[in-house]
Amino acid sequence: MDPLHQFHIKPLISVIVADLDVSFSNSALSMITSVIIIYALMMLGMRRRSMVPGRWQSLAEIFYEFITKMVDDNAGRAARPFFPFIFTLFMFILVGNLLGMLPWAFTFTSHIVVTFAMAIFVFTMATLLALIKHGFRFFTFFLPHGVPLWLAPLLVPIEIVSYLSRPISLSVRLFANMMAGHTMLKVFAGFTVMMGAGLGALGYAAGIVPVIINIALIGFEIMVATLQAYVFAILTCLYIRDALELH
Amino acid sequence: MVAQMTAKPDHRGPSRCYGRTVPAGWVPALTLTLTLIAGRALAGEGGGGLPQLDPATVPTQLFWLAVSFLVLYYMLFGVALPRVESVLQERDSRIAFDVVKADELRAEADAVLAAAERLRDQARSQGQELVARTGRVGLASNRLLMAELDVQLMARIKDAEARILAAKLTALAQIDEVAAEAARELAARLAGVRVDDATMAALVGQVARDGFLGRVPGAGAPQRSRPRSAAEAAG
Repeated sequence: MDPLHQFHIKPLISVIVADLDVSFSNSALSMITSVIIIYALMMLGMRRRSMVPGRWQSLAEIFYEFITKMVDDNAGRAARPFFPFIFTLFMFILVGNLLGMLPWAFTFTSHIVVTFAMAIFVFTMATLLALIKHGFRFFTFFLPHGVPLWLAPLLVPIEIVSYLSRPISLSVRLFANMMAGHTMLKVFAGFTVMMGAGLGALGYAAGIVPVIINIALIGFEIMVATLQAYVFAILTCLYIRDALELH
Repeated sequence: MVAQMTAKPDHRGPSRCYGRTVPAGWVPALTLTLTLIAGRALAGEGGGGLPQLDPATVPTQLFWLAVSFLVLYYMLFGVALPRVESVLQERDSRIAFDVVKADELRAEADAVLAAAERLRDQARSQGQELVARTGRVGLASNRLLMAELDVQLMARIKDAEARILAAKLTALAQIDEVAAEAARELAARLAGVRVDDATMAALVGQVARDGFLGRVPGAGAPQRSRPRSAAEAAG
């Protein structure tokens, strides 16, 4: 009955590496399943390499062209080398989110550890890229063009804080969306069970209402799952653009 | 590595070609390092109420995240994405080739059409010329025919006129005779005078020559028309 129960990580196979407990858990199972699904989708879809694609090949090509366009539009053509990374990121989050919509499945993106690790990786990558590409000129990023110099003491700290908060907002957005959605589904599902337990037959009859709400919520959650993967990927594109162009 | 990272990708394809510039060996290295550092740092702390805040699960999540992400990255980067790219490029080049070929064929068709039109125009003008020439020839021959006809008709008209003239002359020549006959008959009936043929002929000839009143002094100008004068003389 605990709506947070679904977020518990349960070790399935105990693995200890360098004194660290890295047991193969339900979270790891979801991740590996996502990897297999994505790889299978791309490989089985492209198996025939048809000139005129079938359904599965079309799907693989649509993903490919969708991300290509996203990178080109939001990060610029110079960001092409990051295409495989952004593709992997988007597909991993998307399939992870959608996989979590299945009953009994574990949503690994509902853990801040996972989303923050991805966000801090994106942030670190973008910052390193900017530093390597622009050297110390990178720090002009914190003073926007055309701003009077006397405003600098005010603006530069604001810009720095906003820059440093990028990984936090990026990770919390995804994690919070996934966790809130799944919690809400569980809470509404719990209402039905509670009504049945408390009110008997009448309760089960009334329990249909939360079920109906849940049906709508599941549709909404599928949208959120897709949208959040898209947002994560597109923000990554924008951070890479900032790193490449410094405004 | 940086130069490779930021190197401009070649722009052969319409929208792809991230290709070959990112060995990205530093991507997994960085991820794994960050993971293990964060995992070690967080592993020791105490647990909370929310499963998400339980530090004990941090290492396993980060470890498997790093593993699965890296595996996925390399499988996509190394195998799946180049495959999609090659298929798309193949299709693009095929389409480009087909478009070029279609353009060529269209140009060819246009040329053929133009040739056909030229030929048709030529044939039409030739036909028109032929019709015009035939018309002119026909007209000329018509004119010739008409002229010929004219000549023939004129000849016949002349012939007819000549015959008419001849008949007229014959008739005129016979008129004296008829008049003499009539006058002799009249003389015999009215006056009971018998006039022999020779005298009558002489008289008629005189009347025809001088008019009926030729012998009468003070009479008008002699009549020109011999038949009438002959009739008056008879009357």
